Amino acid sequence: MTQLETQPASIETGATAEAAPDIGGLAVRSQWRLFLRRFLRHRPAVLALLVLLGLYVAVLFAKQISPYPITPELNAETLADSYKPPNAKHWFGTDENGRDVLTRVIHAGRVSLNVGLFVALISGVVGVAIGSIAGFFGGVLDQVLMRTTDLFLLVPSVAILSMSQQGLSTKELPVFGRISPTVLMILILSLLFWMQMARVVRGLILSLKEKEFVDAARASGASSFRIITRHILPNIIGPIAVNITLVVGLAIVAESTVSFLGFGLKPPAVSWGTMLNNGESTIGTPNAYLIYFPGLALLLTVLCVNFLGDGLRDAFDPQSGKN
Amino acid sequence: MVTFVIRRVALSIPVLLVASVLVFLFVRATTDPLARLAQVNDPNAKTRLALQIGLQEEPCRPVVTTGPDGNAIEAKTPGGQPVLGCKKVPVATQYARYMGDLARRELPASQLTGRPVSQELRQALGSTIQLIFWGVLVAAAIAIACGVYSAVRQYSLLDYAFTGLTFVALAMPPFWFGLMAIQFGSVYLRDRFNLDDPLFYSIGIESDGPLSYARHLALPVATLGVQIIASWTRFQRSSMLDVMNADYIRTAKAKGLSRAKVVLKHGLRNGLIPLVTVMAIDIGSLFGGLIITEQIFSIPGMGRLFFTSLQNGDVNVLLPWLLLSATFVILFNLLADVLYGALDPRIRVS
Repeated sequence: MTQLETQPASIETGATAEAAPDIGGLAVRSQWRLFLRRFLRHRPAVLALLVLLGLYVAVLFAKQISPYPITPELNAETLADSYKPPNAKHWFGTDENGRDVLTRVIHAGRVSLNVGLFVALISGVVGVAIGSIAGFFGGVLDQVLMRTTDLFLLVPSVAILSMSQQGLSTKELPVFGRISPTVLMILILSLLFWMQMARVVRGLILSLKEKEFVDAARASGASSFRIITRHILPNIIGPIAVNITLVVGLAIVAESTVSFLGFGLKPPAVSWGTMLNNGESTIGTPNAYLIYFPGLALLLTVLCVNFLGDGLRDAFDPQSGKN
Repeated sequence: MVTFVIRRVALSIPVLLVASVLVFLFVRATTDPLARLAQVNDPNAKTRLALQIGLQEEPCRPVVTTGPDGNAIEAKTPGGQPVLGCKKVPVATQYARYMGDLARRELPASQLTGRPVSQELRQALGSTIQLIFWGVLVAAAIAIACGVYSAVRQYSLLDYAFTGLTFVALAMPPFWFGLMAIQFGSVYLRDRFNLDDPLFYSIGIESDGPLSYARHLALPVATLGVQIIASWTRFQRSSMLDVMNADYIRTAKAKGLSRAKVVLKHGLRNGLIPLVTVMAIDIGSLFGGLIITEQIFSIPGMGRLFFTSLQNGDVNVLLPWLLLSATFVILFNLLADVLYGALDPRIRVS
């Protein structure tokens, strides 16, 4: 950060100025540019972002990129190809039905990444909304919210998730009707993960709402909604973004864990968790390569998401990374 | 201190009650106690079970339906018996009666094994507690050692190494780590060195003698450890850094104490307080949180009990299982509060 500190005159304009205008010899940098500079200096985070983008493009175009179709015809020829260790034709080998593991890993990534992304977005929106309301207005609402978050932490999340998935994916639900296991998974995970965000946002708003700029906005007649959305939230965009990346990782691991146990998504749906569930029986046999690749994909994704979160944290708040 | 403890205990009782209501509603919403009779063609079989587990109660009357010609006729089972319809018990009453049964220790037996639920849970807890005890012991030793070293030698090569390792461990899905531990720690080592037995076993914790016990526990403890060592190390490092920058540490150094004395006596004593409370909270959630570890390593503990009960739709076990897990979390949260108050007198006052 030394380079930044040697430019004490850099003025925060708040807006996203395209160019840096030169006012009286002082370089004016927008917050956004400062953020970008700091982020780009965090090498692992930039690398992680590139890897994640690559993964996303790969799963978006899974059909075009995969070397083989995801549901090949099962015939004598493909069955003769079963349990082929990694080779030039099948980079990740083939499974018990002669299906290409690389193809399946790519298609499975689609489910895992989607679950991560949607859960993070839904729980993020819900968490920010509830946290803002609780923190800004306080009172009974705040108490109820905080006690509810405490209660959610009492029961192991894997247990909640397994039981809901097992019990509700075959049932007609009121309002929703019958919903697909993947959508159900996203909804329940969102229900489990919004609380951390709500707590963080609530805490930040509690301290920010006493600041002068909030008084100023109120004095000039801004509504509570406007104060929250236009004045307070832009100031805490950093912690919000970091928390969203955190949830992406948690959600992906939770989904694969429950699917691995056999309570989550079930074949023919394919996620990294179901692939590992399928491959568990090959441990100790020469075909154990079946458990390597889905797990590595999982580890790589979560690692990248965490690095990205770390980079965002440092870029938004240069003081945070000191320890 | 006594009033402090009493206040905390009193505060956690309503939490426990509300939690039990929510758990009860959740279990009723997600599980069907009559599901195992889905294949049975006799509607009265379901009614009998519903009566037995308290979903319905007397009085029961023959069900009357409207026939094709508009006349009222009695519904018959395939065996020719009249179909009985009984009064449904409201969920609130079900909950109250269940809590009564719980207080009298007369919970309905496991549907799967027919044994009393308390016996099932006690047996499962035995294995889980062993796993938690050794896991926490090993994890705490490693986390404190690495955390303190990282803080005292900040930015050293080992500090960077530990930081990198915690990063990987935090991203590691525990169940995959468990699978790889079996593959490499158990199978690969045995084949590589042509051993008769695997060096580390991957099934159960039944053993003869301490050495065999250690060989059974090594891999599950490692899998459990991955979940907690990383976050504890991180926590210990940052709390120790805070302490080592404090004025009284500078004073201790200035008056010429040896480095070991400064770090261990003045630093660690204070730097451990935050970790101890975090550990207490984490241990509480481990009682119901080892589903993965116990399932992978076939350890007959709480996690495996949950797994088999859910697979077989054994509601009679799932419900008390959830209540017990929640109770442990509340108890250890309480313990964390009390410990924090005992170790750091400033907390008690505020």
